[in-house]
Amino acid sequence: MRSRKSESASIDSPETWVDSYGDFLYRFALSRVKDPSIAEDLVQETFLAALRARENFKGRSTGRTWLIAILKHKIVDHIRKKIREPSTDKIETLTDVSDPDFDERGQWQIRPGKWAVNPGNLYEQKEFLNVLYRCLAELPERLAEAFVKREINGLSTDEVCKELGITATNSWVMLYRARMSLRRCLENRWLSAGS
Amino acid sequence: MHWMYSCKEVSEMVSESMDRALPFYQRALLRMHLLICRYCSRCREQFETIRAASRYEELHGKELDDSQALSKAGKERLKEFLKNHLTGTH
Repeated sequence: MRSRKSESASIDSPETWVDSYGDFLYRFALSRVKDPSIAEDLVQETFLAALRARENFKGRSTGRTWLIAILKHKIVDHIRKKIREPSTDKIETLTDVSDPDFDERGQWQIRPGKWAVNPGNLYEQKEFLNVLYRCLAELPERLAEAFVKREINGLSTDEVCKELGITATNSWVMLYRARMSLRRCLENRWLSAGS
Repeated sequence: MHWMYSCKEVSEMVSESMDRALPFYQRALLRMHLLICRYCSRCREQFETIRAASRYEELHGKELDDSQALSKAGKERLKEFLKNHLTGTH
């Protein structure tokens, strides 16, 4: 186990990144995108973004965790570009105007089903993770950004607000919309495919 | 403030409770609603599952397939790339 000190020291010396983190980042990318050359590209984009944002690192996490956080953003961006939904903006206005989950009295219109996935045993549920990433990529960009920061990279709500320049109330609304959309998407994609 | 929350409001509060501590009275009413409403409970379970799945890999990155690695040429390319950008930024 590396100490935090040596971790942040190696973040200060990008020439060691490939040897220290390259394989791990590559494996991680490959687990999501399957294509070796795309995985390599994503690692490269991650390094580039890390290079530009190095002064933000400040050793608040390990170097590896920090780089993985960047990589996850790149993966979601990549999947988004690949599926490029021309109607992404529409989804946001749609949820703004009428919420498909509830009727006008606020009762469930489409009732949530029982998911046969055990959160404690997700390793056996790779398919669930794949669908989750796909669903994430279909979210409107701002919602996906808020969600990735909060849930995938585990930032506090305060940090998310600061980074996105939004109010706390705004962040709760955005995260709610993101969670609801993901829930719906997973029900449609994963449950119908999985059973 | 009112006593009976609709399912829509409850789903919003469930989500909010994952991002901040709700006031006591809201928590109590929320818990009551969740006790009697199966669908809102499921909604909460789903939110929790999504959270667990999103954070899962952070902890278990070591379970990734160890046999996969960057090719030698790939490593060289990346090193070269970093070197170029390093000199470019300084």
